[in-house]
Amino acid sequence: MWHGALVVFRFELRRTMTLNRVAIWLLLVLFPVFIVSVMKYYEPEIEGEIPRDAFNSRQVRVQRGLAWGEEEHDGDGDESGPAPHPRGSAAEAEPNPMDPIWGFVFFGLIPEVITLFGLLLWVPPLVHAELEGRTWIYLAVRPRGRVSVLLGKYLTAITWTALAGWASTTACVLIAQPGCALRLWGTMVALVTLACLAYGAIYSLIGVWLHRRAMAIAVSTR
Amino acid sequence: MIELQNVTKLYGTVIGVNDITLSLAPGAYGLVGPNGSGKTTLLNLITGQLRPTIGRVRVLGQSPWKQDQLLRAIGLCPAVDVLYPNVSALEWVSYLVELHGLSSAEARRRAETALREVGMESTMRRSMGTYSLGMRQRTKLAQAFAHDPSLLILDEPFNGLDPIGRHEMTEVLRRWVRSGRSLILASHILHEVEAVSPSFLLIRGGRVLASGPPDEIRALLADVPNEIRIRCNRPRLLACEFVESGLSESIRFLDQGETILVSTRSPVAVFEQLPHWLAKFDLEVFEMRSADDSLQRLFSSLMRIHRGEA
Repeated sequence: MWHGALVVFRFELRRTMTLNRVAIWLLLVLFPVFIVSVMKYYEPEIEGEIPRDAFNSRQVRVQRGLAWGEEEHDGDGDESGPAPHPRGSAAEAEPNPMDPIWGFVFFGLIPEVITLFGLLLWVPPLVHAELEGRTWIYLAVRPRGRVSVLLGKYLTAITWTALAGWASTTACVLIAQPGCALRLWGTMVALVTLACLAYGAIYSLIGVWLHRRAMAIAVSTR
Repeated sequence: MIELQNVTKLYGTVIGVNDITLSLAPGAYGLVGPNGSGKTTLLNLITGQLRPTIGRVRVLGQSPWKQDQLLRAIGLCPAVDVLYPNVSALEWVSYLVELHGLSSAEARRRAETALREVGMESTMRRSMGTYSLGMRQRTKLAQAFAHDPSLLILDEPFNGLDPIGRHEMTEVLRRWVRSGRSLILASHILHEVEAVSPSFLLIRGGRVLASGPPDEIRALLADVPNEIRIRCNRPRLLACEFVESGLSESIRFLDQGETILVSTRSPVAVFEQLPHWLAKFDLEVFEMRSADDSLQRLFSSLMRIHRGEA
């Protein structure tokens, strides 16, 4: 079964390497990059609007290495307590008031929009495209052909989408340059991967069960 | 090789195939029937794509339904056209062969051999979007036998082929049959099947009406009245001559009496006698048609036998 799935994956990856597909992929990558670039341009204004205590949240506290309820150490305080982070670590970087905003924006744009949109484009029609192209019967008469096609096309769709998500995350982090850049990048990459696997599986299920209206049903499940 | 026992396939209330019982030994068979007769349903039952509503199907000793290993021994060339516009025939056939569990290199080697055999040597690396219908038919045939199955099933393989293409395809299939492997060739054109298969299965309305070699089928039809349609200037006089000669079983007047439809068991005698009558009575024949050679006529006759009317 896995041999078949990998054969389909290789074939589909090669077959889908078209100008149209690459253009859509680039659009997916560039959409968050554009939004983040605009926000970065207006960052001083946005930062000026943020109240000083607006982000005394768990996210900021965790970022600063504080337990919930623990008071923040100032520079002149007791030096005997444990240092929140080892010197030189990424989390040691000076927290930026924009960091939580970048977190929300990245999460909203990349795992929630790019991943979903990419998967919506490529996963729900995975069975219907073969039926419409009248190629299904050729695949169905191969040993474990149906399962191989399903798995192979699922892998192809999540590869395309995950690559878009990872590329977009990397570009956005480089542009935004948040205080916790590496940590934010790692979290977003992990979220994109998980979102691709999970949403891809849900949309595949819809695409198999309700292949005629898979796209409409997949959109309505959001 | 193939056994069907009282197999019926229903699509809701529509009958695909109706109570078919047959047993086929290894060999080559032509499955002949008009469009919508149930050929494709029967092939889908044999390849395990459909499960019979009633009855039992066995192929090479196994039930084909969800029997993946059996698919390695079967090559199917479906009637539906295929279109992957930006993929070459070589890539597509290699891909399908690889799905049979072969390595990438071996699949490519077999795909090249199969495509060469169907005359696609010079075009196998071109994208399929640029292919003519005939080239796509050849590619479809190549994917069916590239993995070296023991049973090849072809559904309307001659569609879209020009006369040269038909001849070449016939030669490929003859070579296949000569190699001792089995073949089922479904078509609605009798002579195409006759050129490849020594034995027929005639199917219509989801039922197998007759089976056997062409000679047996002809013998079966020998006693069935043939119909000849004649449009002439003096149809009543000609009808009288038919009745007096005793050559006709029945005569019907059509087209407000301008045409007669003669039913006869001795068509050869009729065709011998007719020129004499034309000369003797100065008859002018505007149109004469015999549907006896057409598949439709063959099936009409078989249906009458099947219903016990002939």
